[in-house]
Amino acid sequence: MEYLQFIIILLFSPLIQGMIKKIKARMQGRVGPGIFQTYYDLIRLMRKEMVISDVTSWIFKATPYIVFTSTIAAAMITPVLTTKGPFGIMGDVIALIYILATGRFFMALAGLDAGTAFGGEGSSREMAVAILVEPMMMLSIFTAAISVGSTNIARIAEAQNMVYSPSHLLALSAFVVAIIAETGRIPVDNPDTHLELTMIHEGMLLEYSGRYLALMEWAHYMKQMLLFTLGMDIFFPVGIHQGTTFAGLGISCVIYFLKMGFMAVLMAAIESTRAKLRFFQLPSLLGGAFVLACLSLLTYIMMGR
Amino acid sequence: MMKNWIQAFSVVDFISVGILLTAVAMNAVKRLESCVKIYTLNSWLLASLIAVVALMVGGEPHLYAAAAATLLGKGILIPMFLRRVVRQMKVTHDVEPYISNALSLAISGTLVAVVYASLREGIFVSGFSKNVLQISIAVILIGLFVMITRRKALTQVIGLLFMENGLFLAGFSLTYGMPVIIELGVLFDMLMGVIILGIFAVQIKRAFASSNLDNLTILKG
Amino acid sequence: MIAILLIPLVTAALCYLLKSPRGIGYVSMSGAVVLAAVSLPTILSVISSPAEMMNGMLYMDALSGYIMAMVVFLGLASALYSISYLEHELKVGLTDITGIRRYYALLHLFIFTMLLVTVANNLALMWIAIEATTIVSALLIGLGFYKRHLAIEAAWKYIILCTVGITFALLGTFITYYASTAVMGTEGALNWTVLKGIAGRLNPSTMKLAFIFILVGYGTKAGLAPVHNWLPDAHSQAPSPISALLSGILLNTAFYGVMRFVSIVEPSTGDLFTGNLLILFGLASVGLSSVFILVQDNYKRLLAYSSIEHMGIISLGIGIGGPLGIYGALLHILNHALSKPLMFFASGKIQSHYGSTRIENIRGVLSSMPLLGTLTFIGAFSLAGTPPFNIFISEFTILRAAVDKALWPVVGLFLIFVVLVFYGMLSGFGRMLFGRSEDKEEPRAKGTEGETVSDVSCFRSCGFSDVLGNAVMIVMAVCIVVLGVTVPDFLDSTIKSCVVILGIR
Repeated sequence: MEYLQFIIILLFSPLIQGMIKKIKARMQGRVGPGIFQTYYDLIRLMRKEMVISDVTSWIFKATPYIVFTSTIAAAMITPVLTTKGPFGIMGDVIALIYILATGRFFMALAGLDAGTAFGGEGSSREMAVAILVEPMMMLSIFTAAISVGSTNIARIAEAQNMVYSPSHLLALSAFVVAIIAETGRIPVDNPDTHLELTMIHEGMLLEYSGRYLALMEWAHYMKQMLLFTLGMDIFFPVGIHQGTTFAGLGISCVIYFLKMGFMAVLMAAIESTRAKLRFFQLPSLLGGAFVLACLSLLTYIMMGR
Repeated sequence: MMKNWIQAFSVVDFISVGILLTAVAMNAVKRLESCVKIYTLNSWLLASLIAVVALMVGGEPHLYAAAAATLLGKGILIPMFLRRVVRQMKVTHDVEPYISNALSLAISGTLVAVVYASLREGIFVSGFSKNVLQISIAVILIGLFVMITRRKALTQVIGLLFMENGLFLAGFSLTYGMPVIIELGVLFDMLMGVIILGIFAVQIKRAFASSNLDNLTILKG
Repeated sequence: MIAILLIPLVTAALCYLLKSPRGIGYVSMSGAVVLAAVSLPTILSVISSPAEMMNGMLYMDALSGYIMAMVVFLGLASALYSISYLEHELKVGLTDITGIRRYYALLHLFIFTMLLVTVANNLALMWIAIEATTIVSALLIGLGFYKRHLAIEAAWKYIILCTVGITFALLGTFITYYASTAVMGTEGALNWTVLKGIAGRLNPSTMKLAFIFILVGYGTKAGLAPVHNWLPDAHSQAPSPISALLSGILLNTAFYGVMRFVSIVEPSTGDLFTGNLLILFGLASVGLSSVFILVQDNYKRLLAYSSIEHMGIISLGIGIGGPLGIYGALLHILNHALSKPLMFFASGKIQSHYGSTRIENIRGVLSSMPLLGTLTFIGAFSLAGTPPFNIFISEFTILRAAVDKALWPVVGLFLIFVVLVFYGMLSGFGRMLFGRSEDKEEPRAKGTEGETVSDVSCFRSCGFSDVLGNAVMIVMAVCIVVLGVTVPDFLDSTIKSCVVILGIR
């Protein structure tokens, strides 16, 4: 049973994306698309014919599958409803971050592969953001890991400790900034437009169509939900179940979706109240969040909790 | 009862980390009014820390007086005066400082790390006082750093005020408050000092037609 | 004691309220005279037996009396000299009646704050008083007079650097209080009298840390290198009577604070730590100032650097220690407090006569204004450390103390620097004093700071205020010469009791 947790992420990630879009639209005074519109979009894309440029290589054709499977692999090692499971050494948070990095690496390559200007621009920007974001994410997770004594996500979630301490809150804020950067939301990137000025993630996907595009988009939604889950597991693991009893799983499921809903509202709120930063200002924002993560670690070392 | 609540929620720790955070955030702001706002927040946190410690220690009414005096002096009067000076000087943006904002953020983070590392052993206080003392010395150093790397007269003054806040916090952690007269005297001195500095800042603007301190290098040698 | 503190406050208020310049001048002078008259008996009495007041907040002993005597005397001298100085400035159009009212009010307020430093027993009160002196004197430098932009720049540097320094001194005070709680229980002590009693039992490493902060803090205020950068600007841009007060006594009150702390710190840490630090700062000050003196072309800045040098010598004296070293340092405080204001007063007259503060613009002071020239001559030679003037005696005493303790590197460096200073001072002032003034009618030129020149007759006039100014300078010169030959008995015994207070090591 615990092996199948990732199916939840697989199936419900488009729903989360739809929810965020709907809440954002409501906050901005629009009606917005329905919550299930994302599913319809994916199904539509699956049925469409693909147009592939002649100058691309095997990387272009392989990347959607690589990205999709790596995201599923990452989802497999994250505790969603229960922390009991075959995680072992594979359940390590460092492993998870670098599995996701594999996907990002291939996406960047694919963006360059088609030889268009937009693709190259998206790839280079994505790599620049990644360089700044990954250490910050690592540091904030380390702060939690040090207090537990292990980098295994399941162990961290089981420890259920010190939700409420200064270093924890600082690390949480840094992690939220990291989530925004990784999922390509305002103020880092605008997920709704395809303007040259505002594309990072979209730039790399611009050449894709049809089935490939569906896979890449789905992988993107799964990564988003995965990061939400990771954040909740590490910083707010209240309510996660530790066994496999049906009742426990049920409660855990309800709490889990409440948490996801909260994260969706948070993301939509941040997106609606901020303006997108110019690309040159991103290092300031991400640098500031990095200092925040450093401070959280230092505070933990100094205060002991 | 209140004491246990405060202890359980480690309010003191949160407030002291908040003080540190506002000091570090000082490096990241560009507009003068934001600098004044951050200083106001810092002073309010300082006053609330004193009040919370007063609650926890209990039985020392002069601590409440100290908290009230800090709030009045540093939290209300000085920011009011600073805002007036900012309006008089008609500047809102800080010129790009000598070190870019991101780099100065990184350097102040490093300063915090250095303070923690060097004060781990050989410090002669313990417990709550130790945390607060480390944070206060970090705030003093960050205030000094801000003073050195900024160009406008008013940001130098605000850096100085941060230093005084950090110093107040250090003194408080070491002494748990001194007789009220002394604290009132110190606060009054500071208030006077800030007023004088503000007057001079306006005079600099009028005499040199810019409040950029780079112009104040005529006297040399 | 309270009366002593109240008099300058009252004088300040009165000066601000009056409207006629001459009236204000005489009110201020009478206020200073009253202050001197009232404080003299108190000073004489505390030299033999200390007095404590206001529940231990205020305290006077021989050391306080010694410094307070200098404050009162120099306050009187400045008040007397200011009358003619300000009259001249008013006539020439450099200031107006509001400026004069502000000046005199701030002057007496300044004297009040310095008096407060000397009578403070509570260390935090002493800190508050020293910070107050910074603020008031910054106002005097930058705004109390005519708002020139160089003066504003100097005042800004002064107040920023000194306030940063004093912040560290407050941290040192807090650390001292913390150390005292370890000995005395939860209610620690900040009163110097109490701390002196328990000084032997304080934690050495804590007190070492406290002393470092105190030395950096009050050392900034006293003008020790390397935190002296504000001094040349501030002392050269201030009006001359204020420069006299700043150099002559304000630096000394900062040192007074350092000395009080040394007497508390030493019993627990031993004298090697504090002594070495003080010697280090002292040598740095003397060395740095000697280099800068050689290249100066502005005589007021030259005098400011000379102040740094002499403060370095005082620091050396206290650092070397032993009864001889401290005696020399205390005597040097007095000697400097006589010579430096004399020079600043004289330079004020020179500036108003020639209209410039650059050495190259001034020639032949001795021949055109004999009295002023002689006084300047006495002051310059005295500051350079020449016998038979007073500074030579105190420098020699300190040198002797260093030789007694076999601190040969200190002796060697000190001698080199003193020789450099001698050359610098004499070449600077010598150029001004000797030679012939170009033309009897010459001094009509506009000065570099845009000040116009008075007519020659202004100095030679026999206005009562000018006579007062001259009389003050003559009295100081006489004291310099007398002290250069011998140290009178009452002075000797006073300084000896101060040495005892500070603890012979």
